Amino acid sequence: MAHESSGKGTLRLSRRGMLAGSAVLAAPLPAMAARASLPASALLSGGRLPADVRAALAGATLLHGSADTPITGIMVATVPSLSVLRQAVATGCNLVLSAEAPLYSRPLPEDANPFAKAGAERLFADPVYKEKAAYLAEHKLIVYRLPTRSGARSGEGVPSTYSPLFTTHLARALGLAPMANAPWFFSTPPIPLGTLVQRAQMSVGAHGGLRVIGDLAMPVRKVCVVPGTAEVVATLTHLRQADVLVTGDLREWEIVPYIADSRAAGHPKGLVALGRILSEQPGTRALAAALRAAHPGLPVSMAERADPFWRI
Amino acid sequence: MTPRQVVDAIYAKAAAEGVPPFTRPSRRDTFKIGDPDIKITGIATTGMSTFDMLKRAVADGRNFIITHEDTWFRDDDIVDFQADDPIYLAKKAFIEEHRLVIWRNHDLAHRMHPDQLFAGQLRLLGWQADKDDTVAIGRWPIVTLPQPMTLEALARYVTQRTGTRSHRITGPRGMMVRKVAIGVGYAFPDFTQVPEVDVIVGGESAEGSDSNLPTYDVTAFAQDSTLLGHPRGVILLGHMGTEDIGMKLMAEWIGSFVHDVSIRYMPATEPFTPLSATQG
Repeated sequence: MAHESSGKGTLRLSRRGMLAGSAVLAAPLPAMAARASLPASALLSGGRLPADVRAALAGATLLHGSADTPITGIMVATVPSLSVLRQAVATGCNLVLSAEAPLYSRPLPEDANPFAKAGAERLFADPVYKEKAAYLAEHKLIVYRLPTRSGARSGEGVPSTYSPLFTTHLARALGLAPMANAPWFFSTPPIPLGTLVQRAQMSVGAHGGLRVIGDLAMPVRKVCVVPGTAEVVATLTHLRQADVLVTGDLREWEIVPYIADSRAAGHPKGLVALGRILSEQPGTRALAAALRAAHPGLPVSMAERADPFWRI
Repeated sequence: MTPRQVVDAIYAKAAAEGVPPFTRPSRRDTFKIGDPDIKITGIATTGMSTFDMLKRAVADGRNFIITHEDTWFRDDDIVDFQADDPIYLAKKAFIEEHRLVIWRNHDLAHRMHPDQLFAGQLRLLGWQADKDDTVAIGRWPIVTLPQPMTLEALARYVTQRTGTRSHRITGPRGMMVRKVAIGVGYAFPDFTQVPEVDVIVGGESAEGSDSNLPTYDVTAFAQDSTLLGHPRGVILLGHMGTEDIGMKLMAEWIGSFVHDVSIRYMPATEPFTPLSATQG
């Protein structure tokens, strides 16, 4: 089984971890070659990284490879597709830092039920899965997954369990301004929903996967921004205070009917669902830029992903 | 007749037809609001009891709504977290003003033989499953197309049948499709269950890799498979693009043994705003 247990390789933002990371980078600046031989844990937790970036990387989980391997380059991606892995190898990057996992799901827990186990065995025996797992092993790729979602209905009262960096950069890509003491809400001078939709297309690249609810002429001032997959109860609760929900993915029988009903109820609201992956991309891109700035001399690339969906 | 009598008749008929009884009462298939003992003026079945659909039902003189999906915006229909929400309150006030009764028929519809949602979708798409014993857990309707066609031609065909505008498609437009597997709503086959199919034509499926096995990201998988020389595609028609129509079959079935009241299918239709080709 290619998945490793999710716990043992987790980067921790504990005091100790922070101090250890700081210790590495508080030392006299090593020569470039020496710095390039650091393991992933040091590269991803160092004190030279801005605080919001460190927070976004804290809890990144080692899914493949060894935590001790010296890093030759970093490929940052939303989805570590086979194409991205090949690109990493071709450009000499042995660390892949991604928002999603390479092997399509969460690791199989040890106490999984027989139904889940049977399905997992089918997937592990599938030629596509086997070829990708073999590629990861053959090239000794190290894959860290960014901490995203701790589980459906986590009950934490937040619409998204993504780090605030993802929310901030998604909102920024859409031309929305932060609001004081309201991490999920962003403001804009009044614009029609259609303008927000155009920005989603132009700045986020959402096309075939874009799902919109609302009159495109409806005015937008306050937007609830939820990168990733929207948490049902917390999103519904927050949405009450916003004109529009911008999110990645949601289930069409939850949240969606609330927004669809809003017009008939006389309180029209809008939805811009970008696709989960595209909603992760502005934040992921910002992490790549921060890592590049913090580790000069180490190749750091961002694998841009186009909308996986098209439409006729 | 009352809603309670209709629901009793539905369960009695289902039992007589050999539908396996629930081992414990369904938490989904319950009365959501209204007086189950009121006199029915007419029944409307639908994929989802949206506010717009309820208004159409009232305009058509129907006070008993049989819905496949939830009324209160989340699967469990628990409303306490939004008790003072203006959208919830407006919908509730409308329902009370018009003395509507809403009952959800989700789990029963999926337990019938055939599963009414899959049967409805196959009929809508104009296809027959290769085998008629499909739609048990881990078995999905597979359709060998009358003739092979490109993914683009297939997408055009199925979206003309469903009338959807906000479908999402992954895969090379020119790939040849011979066999497809059918999904409805969130019931979505994966490629390891149906390795012989080229394309899955379903409703919706979670993007990303947060799914718990055996569910996984079929979009990412299809892209990798295509890169490895085994082209695969996915057509997502949306929840109402795949499950509304099953409630038409439900109306026909209920109408076959409930004769005293008028029953009619009133689709919820997809909720999304159509975007033009250049926009989408």
